This record gives sequence, structure tokens and C-alpha cells, in this order.
Amino acid sequence: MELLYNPDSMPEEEVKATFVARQWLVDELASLIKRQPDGAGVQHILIIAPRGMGKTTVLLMAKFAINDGNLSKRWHAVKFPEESYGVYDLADFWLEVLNIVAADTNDEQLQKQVDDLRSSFPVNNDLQEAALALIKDWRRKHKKRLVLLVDNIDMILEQINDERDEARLREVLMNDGAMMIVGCALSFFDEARSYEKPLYNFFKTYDLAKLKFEQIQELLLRRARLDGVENFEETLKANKTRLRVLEYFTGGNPRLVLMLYRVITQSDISEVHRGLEKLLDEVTPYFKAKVESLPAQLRKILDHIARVSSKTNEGLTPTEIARAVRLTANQVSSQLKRLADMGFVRSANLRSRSSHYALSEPLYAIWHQMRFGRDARERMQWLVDFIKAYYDSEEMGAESQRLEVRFRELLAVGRMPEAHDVLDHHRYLADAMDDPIVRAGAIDKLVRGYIEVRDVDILRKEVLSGLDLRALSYWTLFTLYEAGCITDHEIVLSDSTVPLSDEVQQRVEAAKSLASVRAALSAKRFVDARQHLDRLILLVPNEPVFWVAHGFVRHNLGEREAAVASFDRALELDQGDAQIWAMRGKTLKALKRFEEAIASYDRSLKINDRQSPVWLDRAAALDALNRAEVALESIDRAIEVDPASSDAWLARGESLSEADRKVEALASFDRALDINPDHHKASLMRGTMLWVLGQSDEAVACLDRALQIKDGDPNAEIVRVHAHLMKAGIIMYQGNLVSARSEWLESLRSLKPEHLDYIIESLSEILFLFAEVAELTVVRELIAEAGLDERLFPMARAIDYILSGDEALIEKLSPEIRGIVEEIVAKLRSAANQTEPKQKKLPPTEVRSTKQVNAGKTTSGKRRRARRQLN
Amino acid sequence: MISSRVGPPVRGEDFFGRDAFVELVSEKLKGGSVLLAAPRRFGKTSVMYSLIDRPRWNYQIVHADLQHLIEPAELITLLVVQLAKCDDGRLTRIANGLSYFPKKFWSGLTNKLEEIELLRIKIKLREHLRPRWQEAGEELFKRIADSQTTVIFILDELPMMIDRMARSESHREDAKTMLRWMRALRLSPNIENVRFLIAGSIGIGRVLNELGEISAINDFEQLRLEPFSVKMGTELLEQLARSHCLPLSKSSKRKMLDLIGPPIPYFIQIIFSEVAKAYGQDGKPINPKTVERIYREKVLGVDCVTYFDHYYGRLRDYYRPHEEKATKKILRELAMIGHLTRDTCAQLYKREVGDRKNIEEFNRLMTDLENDFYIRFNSDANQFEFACKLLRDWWLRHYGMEADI
Repeated sequence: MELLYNPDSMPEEEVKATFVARQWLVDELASLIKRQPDGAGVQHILIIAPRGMGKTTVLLMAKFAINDGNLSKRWHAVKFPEESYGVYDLADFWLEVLNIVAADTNDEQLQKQVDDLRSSFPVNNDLQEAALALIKDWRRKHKKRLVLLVDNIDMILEQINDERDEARLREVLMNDGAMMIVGCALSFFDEARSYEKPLYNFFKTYDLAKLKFEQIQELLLRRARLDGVENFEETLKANKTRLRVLEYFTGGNPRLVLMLYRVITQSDISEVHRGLEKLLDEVTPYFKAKVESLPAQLRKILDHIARVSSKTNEGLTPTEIARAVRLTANQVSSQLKRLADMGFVRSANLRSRSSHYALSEPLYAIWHQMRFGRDARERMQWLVDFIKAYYDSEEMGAESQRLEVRFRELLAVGRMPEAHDVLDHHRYLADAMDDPIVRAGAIDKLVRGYIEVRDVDILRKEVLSGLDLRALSYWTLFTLYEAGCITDHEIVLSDSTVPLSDEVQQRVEAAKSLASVRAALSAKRFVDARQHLDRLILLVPNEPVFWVAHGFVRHNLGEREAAVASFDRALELDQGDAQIWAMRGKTLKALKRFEEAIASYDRSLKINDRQSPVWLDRAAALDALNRAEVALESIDRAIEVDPASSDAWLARGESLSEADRKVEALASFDRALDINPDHHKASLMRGTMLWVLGQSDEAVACLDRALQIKDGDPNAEIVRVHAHLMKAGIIMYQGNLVSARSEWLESLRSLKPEHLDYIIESLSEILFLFAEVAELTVVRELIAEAGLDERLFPMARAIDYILSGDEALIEKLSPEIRGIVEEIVAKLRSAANQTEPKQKKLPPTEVRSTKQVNAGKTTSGKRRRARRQLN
Repeated sequence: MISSRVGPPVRGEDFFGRDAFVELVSEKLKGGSVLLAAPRRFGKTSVMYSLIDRPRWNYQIVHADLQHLIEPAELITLLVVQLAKCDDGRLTRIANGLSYFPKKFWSGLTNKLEEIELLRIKIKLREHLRPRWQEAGEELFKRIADSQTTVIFILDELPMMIDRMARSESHREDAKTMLRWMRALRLSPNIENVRFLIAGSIGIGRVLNELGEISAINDFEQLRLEPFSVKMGTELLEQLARSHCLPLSKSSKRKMLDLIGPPIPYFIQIIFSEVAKAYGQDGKPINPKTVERIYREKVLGVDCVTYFDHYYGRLRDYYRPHEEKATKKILRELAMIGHLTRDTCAQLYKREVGDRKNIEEFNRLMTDLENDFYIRFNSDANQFEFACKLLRDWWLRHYGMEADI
């Protein structure tokens, strides 16, 4: 990228490949060199153009033209470097010529002669003549004349600053014929334009005009071809309007065109920024010196034009300027002429006297902006204005997102400098955005980005200044607070503080509370979270998200009615948020207000029907209302939205198994496990379904796999217990009492006491299952071994009663408990009458063959029991 | 085919339209020394080179460009060296015969010694001549006188050398001495075969005035480089157009000459240059209307300001403050009205200078303005007018309406 601004360092092929618009000048120079007379009368050339217009490149091309063709037989090109700070008099100038020739031709002897000159000729005038004599000797020896390609010749002559030296230079150039000068300058400088100076009108001048539209296109095409940018020609064809923007912003200045080329081909704004900073470094001494040499009045006028036109991109009339700087219009007109003569300003519309004056050099305008801009935004206003003009808001939004993603990627791998660059790029983009919502989002991300890269400095210096903090999210406000960029009352800038408005102070307080809420929620401290949220909604009662959080917390605290009220409040503020409706539905479902829950889900899905989890929740609510068909439709919608949701396939399997569509159910469980082989519940359900379908061995294998799954999900433990219990049941039915008992005990071994409540019903169900195939004494032993006498008291008492026949065991019970025990007794007796003998039971298929009706019931009962274990 | 050249002297076929003038100079040199008068860039050096390239009668030329010199010893050294380098054996023998002429230099020249070695010798010669330059100069001119060969010393930029010396405390007296010495030399009855042709980028009259040595050149015949004839001006345009492959109609050429007024070659070059640029950039055919537009926008505009702005600036630099004001007033009126009688100019002058009014000073001022090529006196109409229309248009455009600062 640097090379774009340093053509001297570019490979020759690259210079040639990207050279546009000036070939006519190079051809003319070559033709002129060819026709130069011997001796006196050599024509010397001056190329005048502002910075970045391609002067150095023209000199390089002239050098190539000389070296590549026949001219090299009679001429040697001597290309001066872009800056010649070491040339302070004519002697230095001639010595520099000799040094370059010696280097170009690897002439060590010449170099030695040059080095010896200073000591041989201590008097400066004599040294000058000696250096010139050595040049003439070189010429005679090699039979070649020299073309001196002198960049910034005005600077050199200014450094020389000696009339006698200039007179001698003129004399040599005019009368000797040994050398031709092709010089470049930023303006028609004093030494060449002042009547009294020796070099007055001595050079034939060429101005490098700004690039026309077609030439800009050509330049971009050539550059893109060289960079291997694909389809650029098509891009250009499709974006003529944007190219006009480019033309406008660059003023046809090739260097600026190439800078913005980086923006449009590689979105490389950071590099352009660096390029502009570098440019600033380069041109500051020059522009500063130029401006400081002006009388105060001229400086005032120039400064005013620079400031205003950089904002408005328009010229100013003398009257307008006069009003602003408090001079008469006549005075200003006269001064403007002087400024125009010096090349600072240019006038347009000269037909009448209402001329408009603008800065003549786009680079000067940019320099002025960058140097005197009050803040970072102002300093890069040119770049921001370009982005604004070049991209539409949709593209800016897309680019903003892309940059955010890129930033996160770079941050994740620790590539901090590049992450920084992306942030800078994003900052200019944000400044260019007109859409306030998109802009607020971008700024929000930016602020957090800078905090994440720990660049609080930039935030204080360049981002926070003038930023409307009200547009920032609470979380971003809090991060600013934590980073020390804002306090409870102030914004802390790099060099000052700015008080916060009341509104923002309140937002800061809210942000702090919100942070506390987050911390509490992360740690599942719902009580703390609720306290902070109570405060938060007092501070900011009209923020829907806080009410949603409030509802969520209350739901988790079991305060479900209150949770619904919070969601209702959130919905008053924002009816259009699908998530709020969904969360409300979930809480209503938990309250078993299924109709209302379904209505809430329906509202959510009306806003956004692409929410798979909501379709599933709706299905569960419908299922609770025994609307299985509609529930299944809901599940199918969930799958349509998210075919890769294992939960959805699981739900489908459960629903189908409820509808006795066992094979389809199994297929659904299989699908769930295809998607997520570690899905506990799906494994369990599959195992259960396999058993129901009479594939006991496969069922056990499946359950064993379920038990292998290592999962951090707390529910996994419960699922594992169920799996053990299911295995126990299957093994019991297979007649293996010992293994069944072992599974039973294993299930309880891994059960945490606090989870007993979740599993107690399933334990009961399994015991009923055991009762179908085993003696009641066995069942009673299992209860005792598990230490569940108290938790399963009704069943334990019922079995004791059946085994002993002692009425007193029931009569002593309270009427309520007695009723339960009697129910269990009836069930146990019914189970006990199912088959004989008790220790073993034939597999379900065999049962069907011998007791078809019962087998069906039994199968259904198993399925129901299996499902109940898991709900 | 001629080409448009800016800066260097034009030679060979590029030297156009001045044959008659060169003949005149050549004739005048037969009888005495000549001073070429014209503003900068008007072609004085080109005239000199024409005399060098094509001698008109039997003379030898020693050409020296003096613009960087600051002491008489440098002048004598340069003249001696130039003499020694001449192709003509008679001149080289003169140089070689000088008592102070280094033999090494002579053998160095003949043996094609390196320039740097020759320089060492020249430096020694200069050092040797510094305390005795008059003596050395007299010997030089005596030897020339004895040789019977007519030698014309073409001293380009002598005024610049004198001016530099005059502005230097340590060389000011040397300047006066040198001028007087040269005059004495020219007027010596013993030296009849030496002529001088001098010219300079700055007016020698003003320099000598400053030095108090105005009489130092009263033996020179002053020849002014006048504008071309219309025919010659047209021919010049044709040649330029041909060499630049620029199709230029008769009417366009006529228009160009009409716009600039008297066909001063330098101004013809300027307007042609702008027309050629416009054609090169736009590629559109040139017609009188385009020419007029280019004249108004470019030639009279900021693009060409350097060609004319010095006319305004010099009033501040070279004229006394009260004269400056009066001069600007006169020139503005001249620009607006076109011509003024002497009396009218005098009235304007008196109004500006107030109590300091002095008719002699007014007359001198008007003479200075003529000498400096601002104005000329039209003896037919008995009125003053601008020296050329272009200058008048330019003055009217930039200084015709606003107040002076």
C-alpha cells in the first residue's frame, strides 16, 4: 500500500502498467529530447501540479522512455529522489548529479573523484565549478548528455536561495548544452516567476490536469488488473454513479483515487487512514511553511475558505468571505487574487464578478481538515463524507455487520492490531451513517469493541466526544462505566470532563442495576436478581426488556402469577415482541392455564412463525388439553421451521406414541438421535418404544447407551434413573429377577435426594410393573432395600396388608391415607392377577398371543407408565 | 519548421523574423558598440546567437555570459579563456601571447585535458589576476588592437553583473571602476577594432542610475527590439501551427494578432502556447471565438499572470512611493480610455503627488515608463498609449476597477 504513495519504490512494470492519462506528455518529452540542439539552446521543462497528481510517476516514465529506446545512446537519465534535503547550493546540486550517475553506472572511479572534490576545492564557488567540470568530463568520456529529472525542484531552489547560484545555473543550462532539466514543482514558484530572478520564465511549463472520469476508470481498471481483483470491469460498469462520487471526492487527483480504490475494493479504510496520516506527515512541513509565510490577512482568508469549503464542498464569494473575516469586499477580492497567484485558491465563474473561490488543491483541503479538525471526526471528515456518498444505507448496515463479525473473529484469536484496524474502519463507517437506528447500533458495538481491546484512550479522545449517550444500550453504558469512561455524573474525556444530563445519569444507574441483574442471573441468584430488577423498573419503568427479565425471574422463583403480570406490562410497552408472548405462554402453561398459554403462543407465532421452541411449547399445552392431533400439527410446524431440532423430533415421537403410532414414534426417536446421539431422553424413549414393540434386547441395548451418555444437564441424571428403572422393568419381564433388582438399586444409587420428588411417581409405576411379574414380597423387599418405606408408605402399607391380611394395618390410617392405600391394594391385586407364575413373566409378544386383549391393555399400560416416568 | 521554445535562446531555423534586425545590429557594430534594449524574454540572447552562428561580415566573436560573475578578475579570466577556446587561430594566439596566460592551460586545451584540470588552471589564473585585473585587461585589449582582427565581445547579462556588484558593499566600487575602465577602453583611439554588444535581462539604465554612472554607456547605440510586422507575425503563427500539427485558420490567426495588438513575438508565443494547450486537451477545432475565449480566460487570466504581473510589481519596487501611485493612476486611465495626452497625464500626476509636483520629474517618469516598455508615445496622435494592446487588456482586467492596496 505504501508503494502507492512512493512510486520511486514501485517495480518498473507496475509503474508502466498503471500509468494513465499522461502518456502524451512522456511522448512529447521524448520527442523534445530527441530534437534538442547540441550546445546552447536546450529547452528545459517544468511540470507543475499539486501533490498526488503524478509528477514523480511522469519523471519515472520519462526515465524509462530514455532507457528503453534509442535515446539512451545519447542521453543518460539522472533521476533525483523525491526529496533532496542535502542540496543547499549549486555545488551540492552538481555533486548530487554526479553521485546519482556514479550509482546508476556503478562507476567507482567516478564516485571516488566526487568524494575527493570537497577536499580538493575548499572554496564553495570553486567546488561548484569543479563539480560542473567533472560532469563535462563525464559527458566527453561517455559521449552522452544528461537529462536531470528533478522532483520538487522548487524546494531545491528554495534551499539554494542564492541569486548568484541561480544565475550560474541559468547560464550553464542556457549556454552549455550538457544537460537538460525536467523539473517538477507544486506551483509556479517564485524563482521561476519573478521578473527579477535569473530563472524568470526560463522553463517551458506543463500542467498536469486532473484526471477525467474515463481516465479515473482506466486507472482503477489497471490497478485492479494488477492486484488480481476479479470482475472489476463489471463492477465499474455497474457503478458509474459511484465513480462520479469518487471523481468528486478526489478532484481527479490520482493519489487520492488510489487511496479510495483501497476502500472500494478491499474495504481497507484503516489502511487509507494510515495513508492519509502519512500524507499529513509528508505535506505538513510544506503546507505549514507555505501558509506561515503568508501575511496575516491572507492567512485569515485562506483559513476561512478552507474551513467552510471543507464542510460545504462549495466555493465562497468575496462578499461572503469579507463578511466572515470583517474586511471590505474590495480588500478581499484583491487578496484573493494574490492567493490565486500563489496557487492556494482557484476561482470559477469569472464571467461576472461574483466569482467563487475554493481551495485549488484537494490535498490541501484534506490536510487542513486533518490538521485543524477539532476532533477525530472532523479530521477524517473527507473520508467519512466519501463513505457516506459512496455507500447506500443498506450496504453500510451490511458492512457494519461484517465488520462486527470480523472484529470478533480477530479478537478470538488474539490478533489485536488487526482487530483495532477493524474498529477504526467501523468508526468511520458509523460516522457516515445517516440512519440513526443503524448508526446507534454500530456505535454501540464500537464502544464495546474498544473496551474489549482495552483502548480506553481512543474512546476518550475520539469516540465519546460529542456522542449522544442516550443512544447506547444499557449494557454498553455499563461497560463504559466499568472502564471508567463515565462516572455517575460525568463523561471522562482525554482532556476534560463533560457533565451527564439527568436522563443519561438515570440510564447509567439503570445500567448498573442491569449489570447486577445479569450477574445474579448468571449465578442463578434469582432472589437477588429480582431485587435489582425491582429497582431497575422503578428507575426505568417503560423499558419492556426489564419487565421481561422481571417476569423471567419471577417465573423461576415460582411466582408465576406475578410473572404473568410482568409479561403483561412488557406487552403494554411492546406488543410486537414475539419473545415476550412466548415467555408469557410458558408461564401460563406452568400455571396450567393452557388455553391462555396457547393464545399467547399464537400471538408470538403470528409475529414470528419461525420459532421452533414456541411451536413445541404450544404442542405441549395442546397435549395437556388432550388435543393430540392439533398438538402433533404444532410439532410438525416446529420441525418444518427447524428440521435439525432433536427436541422437536423427540416431541413428535412422544406425541405419536401417545396416539399409538408406535412405529412412527420409533422413527421419530431415531431421527432425534440421528441429529443428537447424546440426547438422553430420546434414547430413553427409543428404548421404551423398542420394548413396547417387543424388541427387549434392543431396548436394553438402547437404554445401556443412554446410560453411557455423559452430560452436564441436571435433567440427565433423572433421565438416567429412568433408564435404569426401565431396564429393571424389562429385565424383570424377561424373568431375571437378580439383574432387575440390581438395576433397581443402581437407579437409586445415582439419585440425589433432592431429585427424589421428581422420580417418586416413576418409582411407584415401576414397582407396579414389578408387581405384575414378581411376588409382592420381592416388591416389598425392593422398597425396604431402597430405604423408601417412608416415601412410598402407601404402597409399602398396601403390600404389607396384602401379605399379612391384617385389617388393623389399614384401619389405623387416617381416612385420606386409607383411601390411597386401598386404591393401591386394588391395583396390586389386579396386577397380581395378571399372570402366573410371578417370578417370571413372558415377554409382551407372547403375552399378546395368549391374552390378546390384556396384552393390548398391558402394552398400553406399559407405554403410559413409561411416558409418565419421563414427564 | 519552427518550434515553440521557452527560456533558451532560439537558434537555427527556430530563429525567426529577426533577420532584418540582426542585419541592423551587425551594421551598427561596424561603427561602434550596441546596447540591445527589450524586456526579458523578448529575444535579445537569440539575436546575439544569430550573430555568433552566422557572422555577417569579417569579425570574430567572443561570447561571455556574465550573469553569475561578481568581480572584474572573473570577467577578465572569462574573456581570456573564451578567447583561448575560439576556433579562430588568431584569437587563440592572442590569448596564448598574454604574459599571464598559463602555458599549461594552452597545452591543456590543445591536448584535450580534462575540464577539471583546466579548472584548476583557471582558478590559479583568476587568483593571479585579482590584484591586477586592469593591467591584465589592458594587455588583453592591446594585443587585440595589435592583431588587426575585429573582435566583437558579446557580453550577455552585463547589467546583471553590474547590478550584483552594485548591491554588494565589497564590490560596489569595483563596479564603478570597471565601468569607467571599460568606457575608457572603448573610447581609446588605440583600440579601434574592438566592439561590444551588450544586453541584459534587467534594464542597464536603471542599474547605472543607481550607481551614479549613467554616462558609462552613453557611447552605446541603443537598439530596441520592435514588434514584428503583421505579415511576419502571421508567418510566425503559421510556422508554429505547422510544427505543432495544429490546424489554424486564417481568421483564427488574424484574431490572435488582433487581440494582442502589435505582433511582439513573445506575446505571439504566449497566445499560441495557450491555444495549442487547449487544442491538445480538448481536441476541438480552433476558431476565432475559441481564440477570443482562450485570450480572455487564459492569457488574461491567472494561468498567464507571471508573464505580466511583474509590470505591476516593479512599480512598487523601482518607483518612489508618490510616483508609484501616480503611475498606477495614469496607467489605469490609459487602460480604460486607451490614450491620453501628455497634459492629461501631467494633470493626473499632479493630482497624486500634490505639493511635490515637478514637471521635470513628471517627464522623467514618463520616459522611464517608455523605457520600461509600459507605454509608448504615438507621435501621430500626439498621445501616450500602452506599449501593446495585450498589456493594456491585462491591466484593465486586473487593475482597471479595484482600488489599489
